[in-house]
Amino acid sequence: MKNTLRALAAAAFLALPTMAQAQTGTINASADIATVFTFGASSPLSFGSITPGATATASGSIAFSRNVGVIWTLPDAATTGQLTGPGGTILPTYACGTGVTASTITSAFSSCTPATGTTAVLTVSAPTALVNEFVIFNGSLSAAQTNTVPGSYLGTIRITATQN
Amino acid sequence: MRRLWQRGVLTALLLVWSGTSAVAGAQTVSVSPVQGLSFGLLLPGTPETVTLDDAMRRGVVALAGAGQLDVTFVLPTALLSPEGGSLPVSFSAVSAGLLASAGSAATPVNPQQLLRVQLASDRVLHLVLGGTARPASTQRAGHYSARIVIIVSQPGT
Repeated sequence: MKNTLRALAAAAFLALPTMAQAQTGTINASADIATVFTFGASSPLSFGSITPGATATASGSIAFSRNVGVIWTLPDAATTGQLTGPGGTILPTYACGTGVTASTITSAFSSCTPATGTTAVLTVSAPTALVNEFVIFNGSLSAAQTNTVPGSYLGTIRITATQN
Repeated sequence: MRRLWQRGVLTALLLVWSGTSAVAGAQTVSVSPVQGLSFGLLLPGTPETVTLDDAMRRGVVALAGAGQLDVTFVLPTALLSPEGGSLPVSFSAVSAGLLASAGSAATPVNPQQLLRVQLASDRVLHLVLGGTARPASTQRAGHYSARIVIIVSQPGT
């Protein structure tokens, strides 16, 4: 009984400061940063006017901004960047990939003319911040390729970016 | 005789304890979160401010009870992502407000200073909170969050 009394007495006096303590409430603050995944301006790849039998080179690029990972594919596969004109088709030799500037490839695609249009030619994981980069195609024509029927030869380089 | 004395003491203690509870109960306040502060979907490099009259996005806390209260906000300086990213947020001298009743305009108060409010009996007072998020132009995509703590105490305790 004595112990019970002592316990009650202690509880009674301990209760006073406990009830006077501050109370807290918590709410969350939140934000979602949108995904950036967009092509920008392009610079066409133009060989210009070529003397038949001469070699030629040209470079083209398209800007791309992203803050997520990306998988690059070339949907036209083996005919990517093929030119068509009065003398038939010409497939330039390409070097391709991405770079932080429009002039230098820093991450090369595994192929510029892959076997299939769904082949991933470069896979990049999510960056730690927004990335502004360029997809670059550097093309070259051999003397044999330019020694053909005169006229305009045109083609399209199609690039697909899929969020990774 | 001794047992009678012990019973008397026990009864007295119980009376003191229940009396204390009643006094404390009359001054007790409740702090109830109602709505988080949500900046929503932001673009990298584009600051966004949630104003006090933005009912959908402002943070809301309900205070219920009676008497004079001191309110302190513990505010974050940044929202964090699970990947470790940091999104700076700031609060101005008018980022918080008091809503006396639903639908009324908020009276701005400074969330960076101790706020003393008077709660009328059987009334609920809503504290609302806005703020500004400043994502960097290089801000990584994803969800960012932080906790805002509201500490309420009675003056002098």
